Amino acid sequence: MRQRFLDWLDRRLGHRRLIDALLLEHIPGGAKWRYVWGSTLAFVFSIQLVTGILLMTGYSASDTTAWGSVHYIQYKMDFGWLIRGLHHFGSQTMMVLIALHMLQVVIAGAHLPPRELNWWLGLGLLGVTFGLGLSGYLLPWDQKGYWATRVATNIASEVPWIGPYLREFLVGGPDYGNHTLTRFFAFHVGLLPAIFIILLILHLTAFRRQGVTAPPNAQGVGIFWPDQAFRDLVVCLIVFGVMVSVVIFGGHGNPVTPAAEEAPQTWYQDLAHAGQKGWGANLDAPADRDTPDYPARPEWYFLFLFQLLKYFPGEQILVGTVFIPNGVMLLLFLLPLFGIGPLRKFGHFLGILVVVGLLSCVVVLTVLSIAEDSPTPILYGTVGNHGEQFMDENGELQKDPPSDPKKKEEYEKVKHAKEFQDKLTDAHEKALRAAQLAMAGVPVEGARDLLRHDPVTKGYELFKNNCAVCHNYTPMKGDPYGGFSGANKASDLGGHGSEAWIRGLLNNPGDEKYFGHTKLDGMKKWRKGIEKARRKNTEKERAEEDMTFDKIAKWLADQGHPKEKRDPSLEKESRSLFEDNCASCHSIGDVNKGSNTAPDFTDYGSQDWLRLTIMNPGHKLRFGAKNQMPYFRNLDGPGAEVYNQEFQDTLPDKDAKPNVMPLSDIDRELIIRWMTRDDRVVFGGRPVAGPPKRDKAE
Amino acid sequence: MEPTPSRRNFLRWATHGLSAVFAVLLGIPAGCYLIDPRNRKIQESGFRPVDGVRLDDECFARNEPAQGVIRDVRVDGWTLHPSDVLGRVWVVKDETADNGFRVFTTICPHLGCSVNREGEGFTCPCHGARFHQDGSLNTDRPNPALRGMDSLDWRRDEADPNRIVVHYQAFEAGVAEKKTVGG
Repeated sequence: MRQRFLDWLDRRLGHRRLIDALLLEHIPGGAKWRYVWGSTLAFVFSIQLVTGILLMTGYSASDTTAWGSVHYIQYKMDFGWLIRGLHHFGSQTMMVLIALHMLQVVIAGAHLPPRELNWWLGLGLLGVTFGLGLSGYLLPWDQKGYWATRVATNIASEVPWIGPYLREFLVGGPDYGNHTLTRFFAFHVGLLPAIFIILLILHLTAFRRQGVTAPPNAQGVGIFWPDQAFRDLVVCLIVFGVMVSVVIFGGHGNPVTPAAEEAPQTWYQDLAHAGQKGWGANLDAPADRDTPDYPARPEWYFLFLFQLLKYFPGEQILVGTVFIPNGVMLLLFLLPLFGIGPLRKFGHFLGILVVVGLLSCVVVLTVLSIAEDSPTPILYGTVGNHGEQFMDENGELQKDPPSDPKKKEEYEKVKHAKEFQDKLTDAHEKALRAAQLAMAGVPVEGARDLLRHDPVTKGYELFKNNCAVCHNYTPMKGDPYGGFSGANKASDLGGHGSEAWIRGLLNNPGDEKYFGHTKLDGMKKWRKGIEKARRKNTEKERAEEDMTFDKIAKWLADQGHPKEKRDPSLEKESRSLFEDNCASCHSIGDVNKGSNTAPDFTDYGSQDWLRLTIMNPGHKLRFGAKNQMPYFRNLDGPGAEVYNQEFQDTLPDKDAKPNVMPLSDIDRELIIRWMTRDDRVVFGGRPVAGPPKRDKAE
Repeated sequence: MEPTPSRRNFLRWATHGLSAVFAVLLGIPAGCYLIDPRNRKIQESGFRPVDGVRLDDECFARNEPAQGVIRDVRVDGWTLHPSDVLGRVWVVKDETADNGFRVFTTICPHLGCSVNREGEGFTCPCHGARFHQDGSLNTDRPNPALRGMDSLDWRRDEADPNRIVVHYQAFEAGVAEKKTVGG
């Protein structure tokens, strides 16, 4: 049946002849392991095609979505980490295999006539592979790809005459953005692979026309199928094994912690979502043009070009960017022509010399580039900066440069490398943070807002710039960042609204941690009264009073939680204590005894409570007339004049200026979230639906 | 050295075997990656408030339906929309219903367009599916839809009894039976 079907098919398709033509290639001198490199390249390229098409099903090429879609592939889609990892390291594998292939070709003398055309086709393939690597590097739209591409396209613009046009053509305009991505995407998945495939077909056709370049003493004849095919496949599988190992064990990915409901439950999920464990390729923080100090470096296989630039400063830069690289390509192009006719032996020798020489240069430049970025020597201490001499036992660099001019020069290099490494560490931490934040989703405004609107990193900065002018902030236990001190104009907001903070306030409101620096004297007077009464009280009565204050503090701290998360037993026990002791001045919820001379405590310490405090601290529900704090308002755009009018009306005379400070809505929410340790990203300034998460400081 | 026929035979089998190993190693993860959409579940929002409809609205006295919007966090692949429109609903006064009102999704049960108010009932602008005011299928003339409009569970908001909360769901289009998408 099968035989009849194949016969039927062959009469119509003629596939047997085609297959025979492809497979029954005679190999003079027999099959050899050293002929495998071309096949491994075709093999890895086909992996790139397969994984590339798979990645396209999940990738979205735009400024706002590219990073998010790659993150989604990496961390959420089944085996996305593997598909992306293979594609990422596949390009690097091709670079290594190209080097081996070229080396094998010149050693065999296979670049010499009549195979010179095929050598040129190979050089074309090399160029296209570089183009694919360069364009693919940008597509995740992460910091690495973004800054590397800025550099690469600016180099392109230095090409004489056509440079600026070339850059504009590549970038899609004068600036980097959506069209840079869409164009690079089209080049990467359409144009370049098509050129690659055409060149590859020609390359193989020419190869079949001329056959392998057998060593002169080789004997016998082999057949491609299966003699050579077997060898090719064995090495291909070894290459594949190496690629998979690098993807899994390379440690290039950024591990994240999934939300509880997304955590892997089965071994399948564990494997399918292993990107969350840090398997797979690296994904840097989202591209952000507002990064003043990103330590940009190209992918490692372009480092030699990067290093080359360093030797041609200023006006000479064209030598490093254009003349030498293109000169090398020209030399490679002309290489076969040195072996015409009687010159064959010389041409063969020259070919080996040039390729081995060039590869050595590439290796040396790459090593030097890495060494210069390292404060201590690399490769078992053989190459690089000797920064140990300037460091203490903790690896900290000494502050002052040595006086000896030679030593000083060395010190500066070490310092430079150390700064680079520090920036690299910082960039890595941002990448980890962004990857973690994006596990909860990426804002519509784009992935860069993940870090721009991150309460942990940005909220801290904003507090420093807007609040720490007056408020100290003593870090609580578990705060990953330092605090602020020395402002001494208002209360210390470290742990604001927590039980300990409130209890401390009840004990000594005049302390400089609380209202010592302010005009808020209500609590101070209250405490004076308490102290006076306490002198007459017995020890037991005093202890009982302290216990009452403990309970009030605990209950009040609980008001910062969302209603349904508050402790009902606290409510039952302590609300009446509050009513007896505090409610003559403070209102809370429906408890309002009419005095209202002090802040309202409804949802005290919550994000809503803080919002009113920040936007309208002089409100009657906050500090009223005793307020000294500025009103922090969004003064950008419509609404600002309404605010100003509103404040003007409350002022004693016309010329007085309202104490209003500009603070955008998003920045305010970031500060609030940072203060309440709610580390969710602020999405467009709007609160995310659902109850706020809150882990208050103890 | 020329391989013997038996050695060639072995090499053939070994090559086929190795190809199969590779096909499995890459093919299985690739296949799992392609059918990853099976992991995406329909969003379950529970009861959400309806904006734009109050039960004391005078349109109900005139026996006219009202349209409201339901919002919630919506996750679309990697994108998180903090407050997106999940869908719209028609609220109809109906004395025969349990609480005096009925709530329908605006999605047409025929092929998923949005059902509009027309005359005394509802009509879908796409293929002319028609429904009575109570959501039932209008069968005066042949009707492309196979079932009436899809009612949704609702209740009065505890804080404000004139506002309602609705359990918004999507239903399979084009079939006579009402069943939730992905359910």
